[in-house]
Amino acid sequence: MIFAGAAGGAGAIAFGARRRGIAPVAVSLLVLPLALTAQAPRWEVDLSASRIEYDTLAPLGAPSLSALGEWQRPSVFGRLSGSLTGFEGAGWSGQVRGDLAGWIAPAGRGSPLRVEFAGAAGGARHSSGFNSAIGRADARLHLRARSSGGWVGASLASARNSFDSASVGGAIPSVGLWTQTALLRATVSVLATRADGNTYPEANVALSMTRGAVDLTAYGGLRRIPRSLGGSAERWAGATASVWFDARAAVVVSGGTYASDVLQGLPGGRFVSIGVRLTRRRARPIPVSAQAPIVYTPEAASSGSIGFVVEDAERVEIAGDWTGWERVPLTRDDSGRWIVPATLAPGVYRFNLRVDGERWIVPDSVAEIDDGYGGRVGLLIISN
Amino acid sequence: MRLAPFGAAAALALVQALAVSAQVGDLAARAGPETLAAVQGILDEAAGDSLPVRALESKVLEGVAKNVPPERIGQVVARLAGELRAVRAALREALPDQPLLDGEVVAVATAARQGLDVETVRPLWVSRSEGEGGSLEVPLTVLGELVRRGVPVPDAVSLMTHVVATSVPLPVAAQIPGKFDGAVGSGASPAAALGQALRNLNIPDPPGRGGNPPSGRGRRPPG
Repeated sequence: MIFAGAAGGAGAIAFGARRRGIAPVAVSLLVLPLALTAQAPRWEVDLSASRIEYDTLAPLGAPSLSALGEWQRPSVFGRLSGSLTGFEGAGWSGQVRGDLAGWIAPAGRGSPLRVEFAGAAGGARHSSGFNSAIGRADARLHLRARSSGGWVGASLASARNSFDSASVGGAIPSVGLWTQTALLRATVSVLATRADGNTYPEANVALSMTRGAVDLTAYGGLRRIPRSLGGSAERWAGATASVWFDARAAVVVSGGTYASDVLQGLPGGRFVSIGVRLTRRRARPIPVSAQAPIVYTPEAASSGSIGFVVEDAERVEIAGDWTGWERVPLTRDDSGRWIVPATLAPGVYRFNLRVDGERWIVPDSVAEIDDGYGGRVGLLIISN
Repeated sequence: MRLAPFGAAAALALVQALAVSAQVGDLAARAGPETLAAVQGILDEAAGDSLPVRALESKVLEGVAKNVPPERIGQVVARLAGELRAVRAALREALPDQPLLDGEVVAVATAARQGLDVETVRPLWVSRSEGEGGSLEVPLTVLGELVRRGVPVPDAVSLMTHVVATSVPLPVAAQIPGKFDGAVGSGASPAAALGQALRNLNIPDPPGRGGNPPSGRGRRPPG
């Protein structure tokens, strides 16, 4: 028996604490948008108070401390997260999870084809002694364009908990589509978890929006239960709003329901949560889209019209052929663009931006080439 | 032999040389002794062969700025010098009567990294002779960028040859990759995206391509 309710009690607490109302997507797939750029490491710490009602238990109050760290490069992504939750008269629970994902472009960087490999491992432990663990490996084939894409893939997962000495393995084929505008990102996926001779087909939708100081995420899903286990359906949905009252701090409010975990045999539940998020810098769910022109006129170069949008940057410098590759600080204009203070003769110049003194980048949509040193260098084209 | 292209090319070369020489810092002052030791011989030899030494010096400074070890800088600069030398020799052989600007040699070397060879880009020089002349540095760079973004090489070469022959303004021509990217992002195939990009910029289709009849000479569309 591997379905909801098998673990119950402490297992439910352990599992529910991980969700704690901010689960961005009902499924635990980490699907890369494959439009990654070299970003500074990101970390977040959340302090929250939740009210959780599991399918198998009465409502519980649950203060929680959680942390998340991410490291991102153009083709590699890593994430480590964990949380510690206390339960009203029911002990405490700790969870940790690590994700690592990367992609290759077998047909070249200009091709829309990407192959993604990902893996995740995590575990939970409750003060009663209950513990559980899960590991998974994913391979996905993506077709992507600038603002939309899709994937088909398969995952293998194995889970165990201390109530059952045998681990449960599962295969999870999936397909999905995503699209993104300047304000909204939507992902739809269909997958089927096959485990212990049963198949659990499910569909998921996830939405992310950002508007001014507010980030919104919402998710929903539907899963069919095999006839041998009752033949019913399980539904879940939830939403999270993050209101940034400072570049480094937000109030996070969330609520909804979440799905049971088929492989770990943990029940679903309902939750409402409010908390504070602290971070080094805000990471928007929808990255700022920058459409830099390919070419500039000399007039633009001398009138302060050359500017670039750099996501989540506090300090940006430019270095290029015309500066002798000495870094020149840029200033940000009212629209958030970092302005290049240069007067350039017609021609093609190689350059990079240095962000926060720690990473070299090429601004989005600028022409670029291999720099020979293991990175990329942009081409700033000044016309006649 | 037409002299106008040579005059324009020489003037551009002078402007570029003055601009870059005024802007590129003193290599000896910026690079450490180990880096200088790794690259000095390469630069001296490149100067003797009339290669674009400024591009090589800039690559050295780029490596210094990015904290690349001197040995690695030497390897990268040597490789770049080799590419420039090969490109220059191939251009000289393919286009014995054409003036060659440093920027053009660098641009062809850059395009070569995108899978283009000298013979492939040769039609651009022929088109320049038919057009108004001027440096091919930007058209060659745009050509390489088009290929990087997925435009089939024959389509990209045909397009840029047409752009040069019809003297489409460079600010307009250089918007092609961005417009192309936007069309691909909307779901168009590379060939269809290229057609959309041209129509967006009011550039007449090159000979051999279908599409709308020419409606302008590279002028920006109204509005």
